[in-house]
Amino acid sequence: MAKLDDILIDVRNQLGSDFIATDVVGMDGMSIAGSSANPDFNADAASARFAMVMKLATKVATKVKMGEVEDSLVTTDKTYILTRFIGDGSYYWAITVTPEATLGVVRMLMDEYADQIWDAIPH
Amino acid sequence: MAVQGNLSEISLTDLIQLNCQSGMTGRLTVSSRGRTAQVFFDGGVIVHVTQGEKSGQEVFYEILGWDSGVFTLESGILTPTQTINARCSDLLLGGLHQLDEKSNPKEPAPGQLPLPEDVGELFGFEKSNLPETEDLSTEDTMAQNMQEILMELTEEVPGLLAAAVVGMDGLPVADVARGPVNIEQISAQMTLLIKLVETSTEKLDAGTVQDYLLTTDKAYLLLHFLGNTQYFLGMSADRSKTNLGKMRLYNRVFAEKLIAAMPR
Repeated sequence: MAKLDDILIDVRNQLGSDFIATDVVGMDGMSIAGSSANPDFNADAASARFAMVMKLATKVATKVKMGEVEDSLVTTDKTYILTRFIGDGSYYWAITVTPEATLGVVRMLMDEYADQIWDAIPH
Repeated sequence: MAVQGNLSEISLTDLIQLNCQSGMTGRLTVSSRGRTAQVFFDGGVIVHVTQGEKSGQEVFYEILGWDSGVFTLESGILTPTQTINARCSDLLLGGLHQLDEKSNPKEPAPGQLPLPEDVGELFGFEKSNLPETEDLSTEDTMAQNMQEILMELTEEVPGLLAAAVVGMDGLPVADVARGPVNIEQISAQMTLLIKLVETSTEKLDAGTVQDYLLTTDKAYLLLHFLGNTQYFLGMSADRSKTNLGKMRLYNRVFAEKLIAAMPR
């Protein structure tokens, strides 16, 4: 799992001051790796909440025949929260950044690192 | 599994409306006074209606007038053919108008109420599908304005499949779609999703949600709150034909237009 932590540190470094938090989370809502720029950030709560969102998104997409969910993006007045399924869909990866972050760059980084993260998870 | 019942317990209109809203795929068989009709649903869309040798939309309108009898609802049964290509809401509304005209060409019969003017609201239909009248209420005008804005949106965003203004009660106020889609069902599902996103971000103190984008292998679904109102603009576009940046841009621009079209 050290490899996974290294990858997340690498991602964090690339995002610089825009970085708020990142977590790799199982679909049971439990984070297996992550880091945050804010010591008060509640990674457990965020992981569990967004596991619910990803599950519902999958159900909704199936119900309305939209296809297979790849990722989602929540825009708030304080943050961008990007979540994306990795590997076989048994985990998702979340990155939270400030609204000043360049969204296209964050999406590109997630594309770039998704496979490496999946490879770093023992399965 | 089949569900059976009597039309004295639930009207055929309500039964069909429920099946449409739940996205049912299956067959509804109705028997009344020696006649039997079958209505086939595919994902909440009525695709085929048959009675004896007859089939299609006119048969659907005819059976809506059946006020007694029994029904059997069987899920999972696929239609043998397609004779109808119209949205559930349009069919029901058309049927109700036909019934109204047949039973009451000019004046209501004694003891019978006329079709309410706001029938569209009762069934969650968009008002633009209602017949035009000389004396439009403020709400009618608002819905028409929104419909026009959505029509304009379809011309600007390549690959747009559907767009709707939806209340947090899950009902669409106005909508446009390319092809037959079950807009009531999609609106309800989008509302469920954005409500969960809103609750989640609120609990995490992550700010006020402005929009939510869902990406699948086939499409983008973008939901954007209309200011501080209890409504959002939902857009779905074919991923292979659209540009995400352009979609987000027009989503923001048209959200502002829709906010301006809403009553204050």
